[in-house]
Amino acid sequence: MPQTPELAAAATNRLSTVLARVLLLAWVPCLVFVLATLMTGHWVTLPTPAVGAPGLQTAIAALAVGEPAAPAAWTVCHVLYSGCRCSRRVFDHLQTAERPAGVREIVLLVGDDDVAMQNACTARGMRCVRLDRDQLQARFGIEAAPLFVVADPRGVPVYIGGYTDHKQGLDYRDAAIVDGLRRGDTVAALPVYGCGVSQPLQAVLDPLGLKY
Amino acid sequence: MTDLTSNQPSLLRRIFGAIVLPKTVSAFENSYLERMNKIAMGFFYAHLPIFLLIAWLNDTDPLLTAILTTAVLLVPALGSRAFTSQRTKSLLFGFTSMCMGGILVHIGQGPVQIEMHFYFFSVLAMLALFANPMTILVAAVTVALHHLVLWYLVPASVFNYAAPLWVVLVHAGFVVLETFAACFIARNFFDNVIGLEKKVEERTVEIRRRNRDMRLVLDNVQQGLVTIDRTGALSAEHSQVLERWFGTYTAGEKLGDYVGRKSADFGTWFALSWESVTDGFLPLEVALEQLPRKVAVGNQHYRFDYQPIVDASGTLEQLMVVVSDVTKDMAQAAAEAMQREILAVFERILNDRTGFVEFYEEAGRLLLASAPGGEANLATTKRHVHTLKGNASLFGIESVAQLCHAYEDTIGEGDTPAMATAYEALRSRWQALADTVDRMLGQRAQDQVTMTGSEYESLLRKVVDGANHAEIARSLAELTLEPTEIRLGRFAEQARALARRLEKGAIEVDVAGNGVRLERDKFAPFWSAFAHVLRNAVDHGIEPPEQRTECGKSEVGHLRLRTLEHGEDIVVELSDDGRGIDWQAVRARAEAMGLPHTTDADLVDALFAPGLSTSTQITDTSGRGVGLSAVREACLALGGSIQTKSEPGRGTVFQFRFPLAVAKETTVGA
Repeated sequence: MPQTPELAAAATNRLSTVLARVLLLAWVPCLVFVLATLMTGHWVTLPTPAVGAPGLQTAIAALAVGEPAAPAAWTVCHVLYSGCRCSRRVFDHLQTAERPAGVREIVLLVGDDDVAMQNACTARGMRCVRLDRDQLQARFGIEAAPLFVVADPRGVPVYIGGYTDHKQGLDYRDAAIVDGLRRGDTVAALPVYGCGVSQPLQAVLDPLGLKY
Repeated sequence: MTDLTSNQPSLLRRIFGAIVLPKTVSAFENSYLERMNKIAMGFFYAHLPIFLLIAWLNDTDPLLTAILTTAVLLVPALGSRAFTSQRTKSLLFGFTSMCMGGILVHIGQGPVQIEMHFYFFSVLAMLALFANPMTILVAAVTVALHHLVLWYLVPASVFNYAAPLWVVLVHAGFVVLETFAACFIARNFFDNVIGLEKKVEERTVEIRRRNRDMRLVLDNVQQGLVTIDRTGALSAEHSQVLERWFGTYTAGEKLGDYVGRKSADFGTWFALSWESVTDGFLPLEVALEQLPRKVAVGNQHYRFDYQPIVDASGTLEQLMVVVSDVTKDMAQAAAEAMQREILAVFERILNDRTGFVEFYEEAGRLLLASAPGGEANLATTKRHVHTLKGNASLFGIESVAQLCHAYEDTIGEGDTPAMATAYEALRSRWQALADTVDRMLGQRAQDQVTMTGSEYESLLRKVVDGANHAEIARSLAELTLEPTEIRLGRFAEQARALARRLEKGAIEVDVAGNGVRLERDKFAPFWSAFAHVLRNAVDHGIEPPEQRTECGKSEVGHLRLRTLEHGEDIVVELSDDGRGIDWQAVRARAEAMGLPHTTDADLVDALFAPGLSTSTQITDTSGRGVGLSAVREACLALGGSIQTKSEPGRGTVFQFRFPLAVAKETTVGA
């Protein structure tokens, strides 16, 4: 039976409507899922190694070898990840804020070779140690960044946590934490918000690989 | 206690009813949503460059931002293809807005990231502009799904800051609160703005339906229904039957003009009386009574009823006019009236066959003589008609009397079509009556001889006493004449009936024939005209009872009818004890008519002049000044004379004298 142009147009129109609905039906849950994965890393409190984790003290102590500071000095270690915006903000803070005197500050920089960051650290009197994420996890047991680690003059880690009270807050507490520890105060660890550095953690936080 | 009979919907049903809009989408809502959807589409498309800028400034992957934003924009784009309903399309913006919020939070990292969450609350509120709680609900469900997926992926991410469950619930509570508020606003916006138009539309439809029903009624009702305003102008709404009766209807035309197209009299009358309705001088009810109530168009008759529509102060705003076709009613009433007349005639024939036959024959003669274009001049025609009217009235044939009255109205204008029409109506009515009367009368025994007992005794005594043959022959010949006693008795009865009709109360009528007999045929025109004198006496002479009492008279009026032989004359006399003739009025009228009016004889002559009447009002009984001229003409035709004596307040005596030789020509010659 011959089909008139009007009937053909109507059939095409019906088909396109059905296709659009089907596509929409698939597209909407996909978007919900994608956006959820995008948000996951922002809201989760990232894992940190325990203060007494085996190997961590050794690794921290090893960082102090060859440092110009007195052997009895406190060691402050900033674990940063170059691909992480939160790490960058901490780095910017380190570049501008007054640094505590009499402490040994070391930046553990993971990620792409960023010469500018290294130079900036050196200029601020901080030693920059570059390593990859596997080394970070293997030697220090650290999977997330930015992470703030403080070790006493004996090289024993006494603080492992975040920099701010709130997620991506402006009030960096690193100097205050160091002062408190040096006075002998008990300082609670702040939560760590930022990026997963180790591959397993990234796989959890960003299953679609959109962020990392 | 639970009220099992309550029809109140459950809470869930009420919530459902508040969230889900009625299925019907009005044209206004559709138009509004079409516009809103375009605006929303533009609004969200504008997100793309802004998000790119934020991502670029914040170093948060502009490329990923572009991809994600475009992916979200695909949702309303696909929706516009997938759905035709603007309302359904608008639902997708609830989803789109939440997705955009997610992207914004991601790219707006840093210290302001938490502030980016205000985007969600702002957009939730803005979604109320769609006037659909469901759009907001879609957004809320999107957020809920998002958190469910978050929880599924990394349960700890829902409890950020390591927050306990109650903190998460507070967070969710605020979202629910805003969702509830936004839904409430959206629904009210719909009900009071968007839906209002729908309600107006629904009511308009309802009004149209009612108007259609009303139109149906107006198109089919067999009564003319219309309203007029204070200017007398017709409203647009009217029943269809009006156009069938009175022609093309034009709203705004004056009612008087509209009906006046068919009946000029109605138009003029209405225009004049409508002024008194609107000028407010007369009480409204009284003024409305002045409006014309009847109109005849061809053979159709219509009755007009008026119902005033007044404001709070009682001032007339509009007048409802109800027109009814009463043609059938009138025909039925006429038929009933005719039936009553037939019965009255039948009764007359039973009681006084001779008298009725005489009236009937005389009436037929008068009717023929009254035809327009006949030999008689207009004055004579008028007298004939007037006599016929009077006699018909006395015999209770009111339909003929009324048609005579109508015919009289046309005679003064000459031989006109109106006169011919009125005469034809009278003739037709008479003919219809005659058809019945002829059957009732059957063979008329005109050769009957009537004698009283005393006459029989007198004649017998003459024979026994041996009176001569000539005397006996004369006595026998006289028996062929009509005894006046019977005729006067008939007049007396008619006078009493007329007095009752004219509310003069019961009157006494003395009759004395004194054995006088007159030739029936010769005196028939006189007796016919004599009825005018009788009616004048009752109508103008006898006062109403209360007036008589005030004058110190007996409450009951008194008439005397008698005939007698006086010398060489036969006298027919009618006297009353009424108010008497107002000679001053007669003089004034005579003077006005150019008649002699100086002596008493002049005034008596003037009294019998054609057209002279002291009455200021013409009724169906008297007032035209025709009756007395007719009786004088009839009297003079028999060689008679008239004597009149009247004293104000004491009464009037009319004496008609006829030479004995003329009155009993047959017997005298014998």
